[in-house]
Amino acid sequence: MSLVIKGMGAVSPAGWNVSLLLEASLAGAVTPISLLERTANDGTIVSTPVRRVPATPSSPPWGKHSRMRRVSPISRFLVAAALEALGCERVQQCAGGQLRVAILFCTVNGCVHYSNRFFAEVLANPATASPILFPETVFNAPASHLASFLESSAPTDTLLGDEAEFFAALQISEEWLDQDAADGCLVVAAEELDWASSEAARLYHRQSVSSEGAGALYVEKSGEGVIVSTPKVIPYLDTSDRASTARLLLPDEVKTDCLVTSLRGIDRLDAAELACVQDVNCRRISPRIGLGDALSASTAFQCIVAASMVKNNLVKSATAVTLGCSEQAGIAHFTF
Amino acid sequence: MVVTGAGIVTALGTGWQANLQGLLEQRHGFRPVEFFDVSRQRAQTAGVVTLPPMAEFQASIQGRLKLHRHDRSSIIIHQAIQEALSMAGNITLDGVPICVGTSAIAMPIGEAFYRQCLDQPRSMRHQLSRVHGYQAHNQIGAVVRLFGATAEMRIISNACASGASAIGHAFHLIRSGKASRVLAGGFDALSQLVFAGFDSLQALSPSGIPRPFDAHRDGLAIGEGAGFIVLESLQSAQNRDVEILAEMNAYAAATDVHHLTQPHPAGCAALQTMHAACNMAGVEPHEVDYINSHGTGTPLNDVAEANAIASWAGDKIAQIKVSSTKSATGHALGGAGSIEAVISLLAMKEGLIPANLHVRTADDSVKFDLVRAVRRQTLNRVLSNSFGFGGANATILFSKHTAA
Repeated sequence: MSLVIKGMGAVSPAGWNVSLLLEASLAGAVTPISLLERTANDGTIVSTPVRRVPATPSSPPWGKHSRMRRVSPISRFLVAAALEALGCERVQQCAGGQLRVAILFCTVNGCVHYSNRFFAEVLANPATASPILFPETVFNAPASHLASFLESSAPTDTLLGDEAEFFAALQISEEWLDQDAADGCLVVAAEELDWASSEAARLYHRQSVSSEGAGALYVEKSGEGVIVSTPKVIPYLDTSDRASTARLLLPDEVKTDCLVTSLRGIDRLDAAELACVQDVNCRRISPRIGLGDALSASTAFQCIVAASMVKNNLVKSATAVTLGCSEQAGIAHFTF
Repeated sequence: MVVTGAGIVTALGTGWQANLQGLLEQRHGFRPVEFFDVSRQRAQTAGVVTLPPMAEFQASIQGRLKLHRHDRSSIIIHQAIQEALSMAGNITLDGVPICVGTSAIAMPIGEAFYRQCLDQPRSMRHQLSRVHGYQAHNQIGAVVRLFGATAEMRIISNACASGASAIGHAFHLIRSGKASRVLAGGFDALSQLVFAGFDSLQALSPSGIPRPFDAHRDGLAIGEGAGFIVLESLQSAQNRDVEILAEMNAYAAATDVHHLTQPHPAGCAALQTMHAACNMAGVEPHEVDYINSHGTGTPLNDVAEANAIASWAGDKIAQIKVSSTKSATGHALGGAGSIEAVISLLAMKEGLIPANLHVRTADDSVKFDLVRAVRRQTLNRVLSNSFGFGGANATILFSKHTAA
């Protein structure tokens, strides 16, 4: 069983398209760090280093669509990545009802930016908290905006999980296409930065640098394109032994020309994954090291980098593997 | 495929019997909210679940739940899952995939993290535990591992349709042969952010009493709770010789792109899912004995759903029996779809149509038979609708199991 990738899209700290993501990942480029600052109630200023997506293009791909006027960055990233993956022709076909596009959106943190702002307003005075902000705090708001943009009535689901959930979403897209729930499926992951989630990430390790963005794969069941085979996740039975779970996904005899890993460049966080991948004899690329950790979106970046390398004939096969923080490990293989 | 277990926790009570009793007595579960400040909100009540004291709960469960990492929703989930697994023959979750819907996850844990960041920015005490416990997969994972869970878990967050969507995922896992048994359901517990959110939208009834399908309805009442079912292939159930509660015949999902928080006035997506579910099951509208409606009590939702039901039923509309049990339980958001799925099973098993409480004058859009007082009736097919913010629409169809 496999999926065919018909399009890819990415918004990352490297820029607003797949080419920039691939270029940065292949070069091992390190994107700039900026500081997120906030003031606590006692006047303490707390600063957190992050890697941001560059400013929105002057002509954003969503144009003047009414749904996009007040949305937070996560929805902008998601819609931009999805539109790049679909391409103009398919977007028009979808809006015209000639193409049924289902959406599977995965996220770890969700709409933290407006959740943060809204809860601050609630604590200040709930009677005057903004009714405009609240709907944008809901986990499925970004996917809803995308469906609205595409005028798609096909199923649209939002999945929560750890960093490896993107592979589960690929599995579900196979199921949906088998059920003929849609002609194609957009599998999208997106995250946005705010101080609360960035500070939370640093509780796991002081060197963690959060980032943001979105990655999208548009997949169909057949036709020309890079093939995604056997996307798979295995849940951890014990998070203290993530390596043994990952070994089930990545046996010693794995044959691939390139491994796109979820390594972060932080020894303690990487130990389990390193134990699995160090004996795999192939090129290794780790986008999180230079682009920061955008959680589910970073896993989408891994898949996009792997698929792009195959598409551009840089390798014949590539494999993306992610050891999620606390739920599951996931993998997918990409070939022509 | 069939349902072999069901568990339910709502403001009416914990468990099948308590909820049956509440529905038969036509009670509601709206009480003052006392565990966060609502003094400056328009609405100050909700469908509040009565929980056991923490120590009593901890002593009653097998294994240990690190309660400082959890909020009230973990207890609610545990109670509903325990009942579902017990009813299904005291099974464990070893090797059983799990599909869970939630909208608010462990929001109170996130709120506590946020408050401490603001009030004590230098203190990291409990903060890592909160970050860990706030994440849905960690929260739910900790609970289901107490029941031996080892297999994959899907967490679907489609706002107020989440619970129904989760059951839909389970339906397709079994239908495709990928699993022979799945635990599916949904939950949400009250939290300050979500309560204030609905209040800010002026979506909450100031009186605290929702009146779905009433001409003068003025909003919903938030509730909390969980509903879980054990869904399995008929073969799997027969192999275990376990009692079958019902058959699940169909699930359909569609997206309403009209507005982020408002349905299309004609209920286009709801109409689509009701048609699709009935087509999948090979059932005509007049063969559906009862619809457990989404029926929130907000002006826009109820008209859209009533219009959709009217379009779906055509000239049979007058004989279609409908009620919204949110009038008794409140709207449990991400848990609503699965709670109402369990209530649909309960209605079929116990032979009753629950009442749509608090209606004084039915809205003009109501052309169906709005059931205002509980009725004793044999039900062979029940349909349950769920709609959510963002346009997630889902319809589930159950039927009475008839041994071949």
